[in-house]
Amino acid sequence: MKCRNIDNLMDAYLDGELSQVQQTQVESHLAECSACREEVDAMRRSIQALTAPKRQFDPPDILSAVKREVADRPTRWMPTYFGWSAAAAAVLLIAIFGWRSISTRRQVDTHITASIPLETPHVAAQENHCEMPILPHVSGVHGLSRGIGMPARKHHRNQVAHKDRPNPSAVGKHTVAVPEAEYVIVCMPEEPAATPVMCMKADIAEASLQAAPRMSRSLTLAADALPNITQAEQEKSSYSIHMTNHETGEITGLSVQREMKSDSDMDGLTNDTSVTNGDDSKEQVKER
Amino acid sequence: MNLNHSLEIGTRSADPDLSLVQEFNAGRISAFDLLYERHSKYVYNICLGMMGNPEDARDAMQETFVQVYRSLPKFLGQSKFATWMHRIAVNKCLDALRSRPKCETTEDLDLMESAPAPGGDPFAEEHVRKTVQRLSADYRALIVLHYFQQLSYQEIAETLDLSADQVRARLHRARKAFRLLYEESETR
Repeated sequence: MKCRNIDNLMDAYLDGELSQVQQTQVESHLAECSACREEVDAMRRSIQALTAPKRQFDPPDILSAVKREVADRPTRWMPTYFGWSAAAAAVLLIAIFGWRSISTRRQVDTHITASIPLETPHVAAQENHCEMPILPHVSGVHGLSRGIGMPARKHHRNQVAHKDRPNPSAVGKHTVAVPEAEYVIVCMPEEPAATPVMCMKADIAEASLQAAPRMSRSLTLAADALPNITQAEQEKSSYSIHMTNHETGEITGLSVQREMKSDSDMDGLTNDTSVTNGDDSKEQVKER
Repeated sequence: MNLNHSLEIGTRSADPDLSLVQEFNAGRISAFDLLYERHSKYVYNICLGMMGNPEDARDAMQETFVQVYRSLPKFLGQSKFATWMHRIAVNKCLDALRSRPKCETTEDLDLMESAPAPGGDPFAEEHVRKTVQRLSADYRALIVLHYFQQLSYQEIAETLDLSADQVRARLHRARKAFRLLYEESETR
């Protein structure tokens, strides 16, 4: 037996948990090795100190203080004056901001209902002056709720396309409602494309979602979890997204169809951050 | 399904506190008094071991019981009530220790004021308790639960939501850390 084995077995040795064979091996090593012997003796002394009887102190009587604190700071919903006031204020704020949000969107785009950050280098798309609209509204199956995430995009008007500049429309976040679980997402083209389709990572991109789904029922697909079309001539491409629930093994299949816009639609990009009219983004998603 | 159910029933029937919890949740608030009476001493000694002084231990104990009171309706009986409560106590102490400024001096526990444990040496015990106070909060929790409160590896594992092997490995490191500090203070 070597010295490093003693370190591993020391606790079990001192606790008397080793088998007879192991104990004999340890003891024969200790008889020969003074360094290990000293180590074991020192550890034995400290454990003896730890295991010596300890007194158990009588607690202070704090029962009434506990009850007082519970009564003073209730956590359950209490329809107090403050509670009703806060609720009224919240409703008012939601109404104001909700109305402003709706009216703003109506001005710019009746199709797009949410904005998404769009940052991914996407050279080929810019070279070809094409644009891949964001994946659209996704409806789920297997009991998933419908009508959830409706990604939209921001379009920088009059902005000169540049290789180093991320294509704002190439990818985005896609939010769907899913049961609380961990998922693995696999994206793949549904049918052989007429022309080869390049994907950002691979034809089959697999992304394991992190802890976020456990925190909420809203699952955001990472931008790079979806394949990215890079050829302008590929006008239409269908993808299937399979989300495998780790806990139940249930597979949720979604069919996603993207359409690309023609060159004429890419009339330039701007620095302003207003949401564009949605004429150039045709998006469809089908349930499976 | 049936196995889980029977296990659950087995756990519940083995938990002597469960009937009091159910009574409390059914509206008999005085059941909480009995739970307090049963467990306050043990909880206080966990807090005292970890916090190192009566004042902070009292605060941690109070926060523990306040949380227990509020969370009882959510107690599902998946673990023993005592284990669940000990976990709350340890977490309250860990929170307090992590938010406590390192330079803060606290009033030491005066062991000489109370009667020693049978067969115990109050001076040696004071030395051990002071050494434990120099350990990190996580190591302190393990040492207190195992050596001061006599919990087994399995019970600690359930309390801290770890595996028994993790407890064994961490306790090994905690003992090593303790030994170094203990020897260091012995040679002073």
